[in-house]
Amino acid sequence: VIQLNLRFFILFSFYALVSYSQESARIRELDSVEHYINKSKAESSKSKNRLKYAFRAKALSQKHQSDTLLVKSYLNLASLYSDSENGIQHDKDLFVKYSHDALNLSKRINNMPLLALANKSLGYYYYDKSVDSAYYYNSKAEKLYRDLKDDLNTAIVLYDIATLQRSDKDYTGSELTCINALSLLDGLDETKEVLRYRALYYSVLGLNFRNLEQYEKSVEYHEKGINLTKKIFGNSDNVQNPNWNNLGNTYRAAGQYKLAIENYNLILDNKNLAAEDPDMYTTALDNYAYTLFLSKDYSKLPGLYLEALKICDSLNLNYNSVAINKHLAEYYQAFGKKDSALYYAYQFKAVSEKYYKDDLLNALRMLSKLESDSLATKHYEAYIKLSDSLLKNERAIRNKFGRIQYETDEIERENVKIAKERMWLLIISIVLIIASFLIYVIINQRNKNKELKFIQKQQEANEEIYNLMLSQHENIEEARALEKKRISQELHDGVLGRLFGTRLSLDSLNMGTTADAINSRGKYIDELKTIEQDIRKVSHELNTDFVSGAGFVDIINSLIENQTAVYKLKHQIDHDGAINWDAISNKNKIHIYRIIQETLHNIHKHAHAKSVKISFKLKNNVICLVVKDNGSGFDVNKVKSGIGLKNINSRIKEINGMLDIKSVIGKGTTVTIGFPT
Amino acid sequence: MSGIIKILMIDDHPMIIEGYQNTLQFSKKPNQELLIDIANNCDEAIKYMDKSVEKGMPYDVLFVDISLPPSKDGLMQSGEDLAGYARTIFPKAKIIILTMFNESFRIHNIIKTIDPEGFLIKSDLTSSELASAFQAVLHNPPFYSGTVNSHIRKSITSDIVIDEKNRKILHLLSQGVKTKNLAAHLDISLSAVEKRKKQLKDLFSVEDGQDETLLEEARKRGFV
Repeated sequence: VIQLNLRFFILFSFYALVSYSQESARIRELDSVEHYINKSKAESSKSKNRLKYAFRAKALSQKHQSDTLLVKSYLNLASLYSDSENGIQHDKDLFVKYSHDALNLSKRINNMPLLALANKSLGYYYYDKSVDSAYYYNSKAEKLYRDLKDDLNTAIVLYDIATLQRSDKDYTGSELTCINALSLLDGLDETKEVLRYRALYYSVLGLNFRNLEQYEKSVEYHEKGINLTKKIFGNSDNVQNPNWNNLGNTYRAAGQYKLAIENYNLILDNKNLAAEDPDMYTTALDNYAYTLFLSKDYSKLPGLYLEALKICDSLNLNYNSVAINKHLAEYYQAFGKKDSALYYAYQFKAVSEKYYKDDLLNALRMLSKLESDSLATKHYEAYIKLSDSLLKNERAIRNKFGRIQYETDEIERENVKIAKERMWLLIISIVLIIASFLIYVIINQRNKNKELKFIQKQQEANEEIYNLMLSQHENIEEARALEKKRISQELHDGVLGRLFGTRLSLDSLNMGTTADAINSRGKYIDELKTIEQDIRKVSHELNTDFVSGAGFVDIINSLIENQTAVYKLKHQIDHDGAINWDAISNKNKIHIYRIIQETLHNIHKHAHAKSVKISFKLKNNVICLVVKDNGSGFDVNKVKSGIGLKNINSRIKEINGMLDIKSVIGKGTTVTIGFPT
Repeated sequence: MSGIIKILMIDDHPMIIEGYQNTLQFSKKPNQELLIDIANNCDEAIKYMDKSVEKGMPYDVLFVDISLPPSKDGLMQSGEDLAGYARTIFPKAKIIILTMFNESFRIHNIIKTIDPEGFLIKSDLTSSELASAFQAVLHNPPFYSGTVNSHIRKSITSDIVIDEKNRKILHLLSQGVKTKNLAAHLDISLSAVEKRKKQLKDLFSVEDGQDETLLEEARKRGFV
């Protein structure tokens, strides 16, 4: 036993170990999903391997059916395909596919943080591709993050919204979004991330106020942004350059060229900037040059422009060249060098066609002024046309965000409404189903009860008749007993006495030999003969069972008599004596009794008859019961399913009989029932 | 006994009376002269008896049948009653009961109430027996026929003693009267009937409790 226990114990521990190791393997593999995701994100990984890791993470999470990890894997894959920066070919279809996989799965498992994240990444993706889509996903993400009370992510998403609004020239809306986001950020701990976003918002606010021509406020926010950035990063590594540039632009727009130049110089002080950040360098250089032009300091012009343009052309920085070409055209125009002005104006137009329509508008206006005659008219017409379309567009756009927001809300409300309606529909249908089921059950039960009651009644009636027959039987028995007694009496008193007397006389005459005695003996022997006759008579009486079969006929007769008396009908009974009722089973007798009863009842109820004729006849071993009345009659084809008729039919079926009803309206009805003996 | 012997024969069957007459006429002693009156029912019998008392010529011998049509006034139900009446008005007369009944109860009852000088059962009666019975009753009563004697012997030798009521119960049962109707016949309650029946069954050691078995036992021992 101990050995056995030991073996069991070992076996058990083995299984425990195996299952434990299986479980721990699962946990390990699940952990590795995150590991692979991180690895595929890590910059250190080779771009070739990134996709491999990402797909491994997806496969593992599918294997272990971990939906959360699967969503994360989808999001990771989507982010890999979202741009070409990581060395992986940007693929819009795959990005959209994985993003929507993540969206749907997170919705299904009801994981709100992941759903918000999926929306956020979709919004981020569409930022520079489709303003409407970007706004749609961002506002969804915003809503979700707000519901989750994730203020930081709400603020991050709002940043995209604010810049989208800004780029669509909804400066006031953008301003409001920024203020809103900033108030959210104020409630958070001052981490680097929070501060960075605060600085970014200051910057956007600064830009918005410049566009709204509130330069003081613009300067204020830019300076706030600059100070905050300084607090976070210091002034190193060109982090302040965009801010300085923006502040410079504000000063320039405000006409404070000196201050503007100071800020541009802060950027251009870095002698290596041209190599480190040619984009920034050319922008700043152009702004610096243009400010000089505006402040009418032409000493370094157009050299600075040309330098910037050269760098742009060599590095293909087309966007930056838009402004430079424009400024050059203005410069040459100011100095009356029409050819050069035209050259740069056409350059300006050509490059700006790829970018902002506003710049193109400027280019066209400039050209319409520079050119003469028909060309000027042509450019002017193009200008008017573009201006009109821009105006229209702007008008349409003005409340787009509000509308998108509203429509999103509308759709959500609609969804809630539909969900509610569906729920109601479901509840109503469930209620209806249950109700109809209940009704069905009740009706069924009722029918069953009815049937049971019917059967019970039938049985009671049968019992009643059976008792009737039983009592009749008893009566017959009693009559039999009486008859027996009578016969016995007759034998005893009549025959026996006479036999005894004769015997006694013969006995006494036995010895006598006289003629007288012989004569007397002859007389007694004759007497014996009469006694013989008497005995034969008694024996015959015994043989004929005078009561047999009379019982049922009596019952039927009394039934008919009673019923017709109650119904006030004249009746005539014709009974064929050849019918041997004793050979017919009690069950069948009961059925016949009931059939007659039912028929008489029907005659009373429906026929309004005055008289009825009932006859039993025996033909070829078939008993024919005919009930004939002289009532009003009825259409046999129409009356078919009365309960009385149904009863009769079921009883006739029981006795293997057949029913024939003939009726003539106004004359009466004949019911013929035939059944085998 | 010699000389004129006055006889009243009571039987509802003329044939039987004829038989009696034939037998007695053939077997009488030469010195005996028989004066025979015949009554076919109770009323006639009473008439004859009353008339003979009036005349001062009482009957010497009465032949009485037990089963007779009752008298019109209903006082005389059977030969038993007639015999009782005859006893009172003819104290010296010899009464010969002739009956078809051979059930123990009836026999027992008749002996008890009438104590007849002669008791003959018709079914086993022959003319010679009747003749000798007649002589015996005249000279040396009583005379009981064989069946009666054996009944008496049976009930005497049996160690079972049952009273009148129980005897009657047995008798009625043997007649086919149902237990529920016994009470009316005996003028006692149904529970008393049941009690008595149980008593009887114990007495005759009837184990299966059936009425038939009880009757069979009683018949065997001469109580029915």
